[in-house]
Amino acid sequence: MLDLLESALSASHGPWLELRLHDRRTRSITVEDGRTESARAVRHCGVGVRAFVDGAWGFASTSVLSLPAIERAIAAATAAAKAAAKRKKGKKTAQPAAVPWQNGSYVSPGLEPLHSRSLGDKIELVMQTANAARDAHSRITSASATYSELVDEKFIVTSDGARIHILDDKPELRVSAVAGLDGELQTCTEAAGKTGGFGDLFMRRTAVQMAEKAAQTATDLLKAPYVDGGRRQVILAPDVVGLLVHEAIGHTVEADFVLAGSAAAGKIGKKVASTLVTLCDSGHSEYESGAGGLVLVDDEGVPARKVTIIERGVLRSYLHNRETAQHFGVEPTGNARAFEYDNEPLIRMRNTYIEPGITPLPAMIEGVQDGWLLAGAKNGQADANAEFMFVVGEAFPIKNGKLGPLHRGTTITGDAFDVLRSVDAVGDAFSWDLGSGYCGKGQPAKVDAGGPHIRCTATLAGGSKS
Amino acid sequence: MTTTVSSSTSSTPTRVDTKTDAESVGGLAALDLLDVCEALVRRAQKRGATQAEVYGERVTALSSSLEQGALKGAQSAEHEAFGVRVFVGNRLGYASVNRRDPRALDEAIDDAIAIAKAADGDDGNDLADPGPVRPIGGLDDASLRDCSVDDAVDLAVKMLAASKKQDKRASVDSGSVGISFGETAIANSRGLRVSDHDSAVQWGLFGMAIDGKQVSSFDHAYDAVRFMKDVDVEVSGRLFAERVVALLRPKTTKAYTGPVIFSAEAFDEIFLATLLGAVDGDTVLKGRSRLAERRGQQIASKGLTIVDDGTLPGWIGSATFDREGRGHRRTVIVGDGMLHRFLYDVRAARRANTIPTGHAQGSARSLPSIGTTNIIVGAGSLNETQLFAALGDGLFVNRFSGNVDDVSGDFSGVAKGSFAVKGGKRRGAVKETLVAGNVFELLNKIIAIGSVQHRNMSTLCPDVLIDGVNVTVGADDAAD
Repeated sequence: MLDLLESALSASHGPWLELRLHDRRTRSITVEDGRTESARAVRHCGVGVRAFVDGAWGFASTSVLSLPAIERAIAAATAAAKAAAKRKKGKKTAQPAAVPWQNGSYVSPGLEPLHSRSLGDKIELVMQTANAARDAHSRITSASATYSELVDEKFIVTSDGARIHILDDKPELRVSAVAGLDGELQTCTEAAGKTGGFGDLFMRRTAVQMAEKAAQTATDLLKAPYVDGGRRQVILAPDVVGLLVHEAIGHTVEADFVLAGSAAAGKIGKKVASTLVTLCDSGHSEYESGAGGLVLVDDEGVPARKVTIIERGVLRSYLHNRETAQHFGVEPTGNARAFEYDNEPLIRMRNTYIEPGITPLPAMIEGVQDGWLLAGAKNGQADANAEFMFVVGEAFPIKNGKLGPLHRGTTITGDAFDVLRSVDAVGDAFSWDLGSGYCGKGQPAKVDAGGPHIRCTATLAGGSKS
Repeated sequence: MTTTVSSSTSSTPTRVDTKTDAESVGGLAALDLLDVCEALVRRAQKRGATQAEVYGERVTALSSSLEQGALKGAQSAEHEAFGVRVFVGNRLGYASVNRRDPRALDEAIDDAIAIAKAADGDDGNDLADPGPVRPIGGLDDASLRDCSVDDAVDLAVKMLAASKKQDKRASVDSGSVGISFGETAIANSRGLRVSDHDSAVQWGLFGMAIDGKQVSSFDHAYDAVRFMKDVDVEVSGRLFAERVVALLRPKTTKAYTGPVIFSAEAFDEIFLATLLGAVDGDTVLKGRSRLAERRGQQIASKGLTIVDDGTLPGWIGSATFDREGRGHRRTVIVGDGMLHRFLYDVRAARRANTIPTGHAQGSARSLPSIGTTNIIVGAGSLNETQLFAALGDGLFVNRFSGNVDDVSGDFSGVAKGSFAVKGGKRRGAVKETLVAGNVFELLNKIIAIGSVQHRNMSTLCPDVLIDGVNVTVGADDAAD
């Protein structure tokens, strides 16, 4: 395939070009209430072409893997770039920064290849998982489980020297339980999403343990009270820390957002967080293997290195693609990612985390007079002014250093940098816990995030019956 | 973890396309989309499927993108994909592929059959019978086929200029204009054969306002139409600028539990989305809907009427047929607060022993699932001034950034782009303000519905004043 792309490239005489062939095979299986609800195989394969002409980008794609079709896509991308360049006023977009290429094949590591398990084995796993959730408690009215996998092969060739081959597998298992009582329904979902093999999904807990946790939490939520809202001291579990660093900080330091005027603009070298906070984004899987956002080389062909965004409270770096790296005069960080062949690469996070500290969780809880322990990360969003929101599924009150019973989930908000400045304890144990999630920014991206427990101050929404 | 440089290859290597294959479906290149679908149905039956359906889609898209307040580039794409649904007995398998390549299509058929053979059976698995499909006008602007990327670039430049002219403090983070046209076709082994063309122009801006050191919250403006003659990107450019500038210098408001006005967009995000999920016939069957036993009962305050109608000429949510090839219809879901109907595709209808309502949705990459078309929420009697007066003091929620639990109906999230109302008059933007409640409970606490319906893509909805909403604020020094 590299030969095919190189042939197409060599036939072109003119602009800077990037050709990315991405062959994605997706399988997913869903079982609900004891029967196979859906099982499907999707193949989405083609070549995306980017051209850069006179300070403007052009992009075109084709699903036909033949030399004439790719040459037509090159012509369309070049024409698109010229059309944009003709109307572009003012400052031109920076040309892609030079890269010391490390050409070769990049293969994501994994415990057991996904294709080593048969379709029947995978259906059986999903059936057993859904049934385990359904049978775990008498209040469960509905239970479902979904297994899905992304199997990717990519080839990247550029007119300035990249020759990259990538193999990457990302499996995921998700189990949901619905509990009912007197017309009220509550639900809980547990999930694991990894980069690697089948066995990586169950490094921390088995499928049945995930199912039982979902069923128990859904049942417990039926009688759980609502949170009383307001500004509170909170301890965030690793999955919620993952949401915080991804939503509240990660998006604001994406260099395209910075250039548009995000709250992190102009803050390099300034103190933006407690000295206890060191925050990173990495294409690799530090501390624990199999992080769901693992990217060895990005979709511009740049090695995806670890970026220390905040070092002991001081903002050190933004996240870059080749274009913004050129603009800021730094090296690209390997953060350019495209979800599929017909998407243009954008600056995206990979695995984002806070480095572990020294405080054990029990000591953190003992130090809280009136606050909450929050777990069960759901979704979140970031804003230009550093105001963030994220949603948690489980809240536990802490009074005088003692942990109370489960309350219903809530939404947390605050100014991202204020919250990081308020961090007064960082836990000593680390985990990735957001690998089953996707980040949305015009197109999805598989990401992961995590860290240790941290203690800080944020604002919680009050529930309807508080 | 280190980079592995090796000579590994995929277990199923990507292949260069071939033009012919004597063992596969031959001569596909010359066929129109519907004939390809029909040929693949026959092919699937020949290879072992008891029943088969093939959904084909073909789209040409031209677009232009904006970034950091400037034109970034232009894009063009041609996409074609086929979704193959097969039954082996009563067992279901599905596969899709985005190429008209004989070997890739045969591989998809074989994948779908292998999946069906490995799955367990379900008597609900069935295909749609051929039925009357009434053409709907106004879905396709043939003139769009003459457009080039230059047209998309021109529109993007106009939209950006309108925003800058309206207010220089408006800062566009990203934006785009897309022109698309295409065709959809479905054939199945019951003899169903349908196809149609459609088109769309859609555009939008996303960003904030910057005034010195002040950065506002994000906001957006977007729209979509079927015909080029209806495109007005400058209106959206001006609206975007007005919206983000109004969000500068937000202030903390007061915490309270009581009435709140939800904009049409916020009402859609929180209330409509949850309610429409709860009337999905599949959700009802699976015990995941709080409305499962409420058909024919009052589930919302009188005055609330919600209609689904996929037959409206020119509307973005309209189509001649649904994902299974059945014609759309007008369906009253909630009438004056009473729950009238659940929505069904063929499988859910068969499981529930009722008739499909033509609400199968999806693309070539997905199995059909239940979804709505165009949603119209009936207008109330209060104009904007009267609605604000009815609120008195409180909060206007413009957008919602948070979570709604679609099963329990509990929601909580940040009120974005929102502002305080005092004495029935609009005041400044608010910050760190959260709203929470339960959708199914609050639908019974509607005080008033606005008389002006706002169009948001395929939804037409007024602003709605609802009591009993919990408003939390972030600062201890809550002020007016």
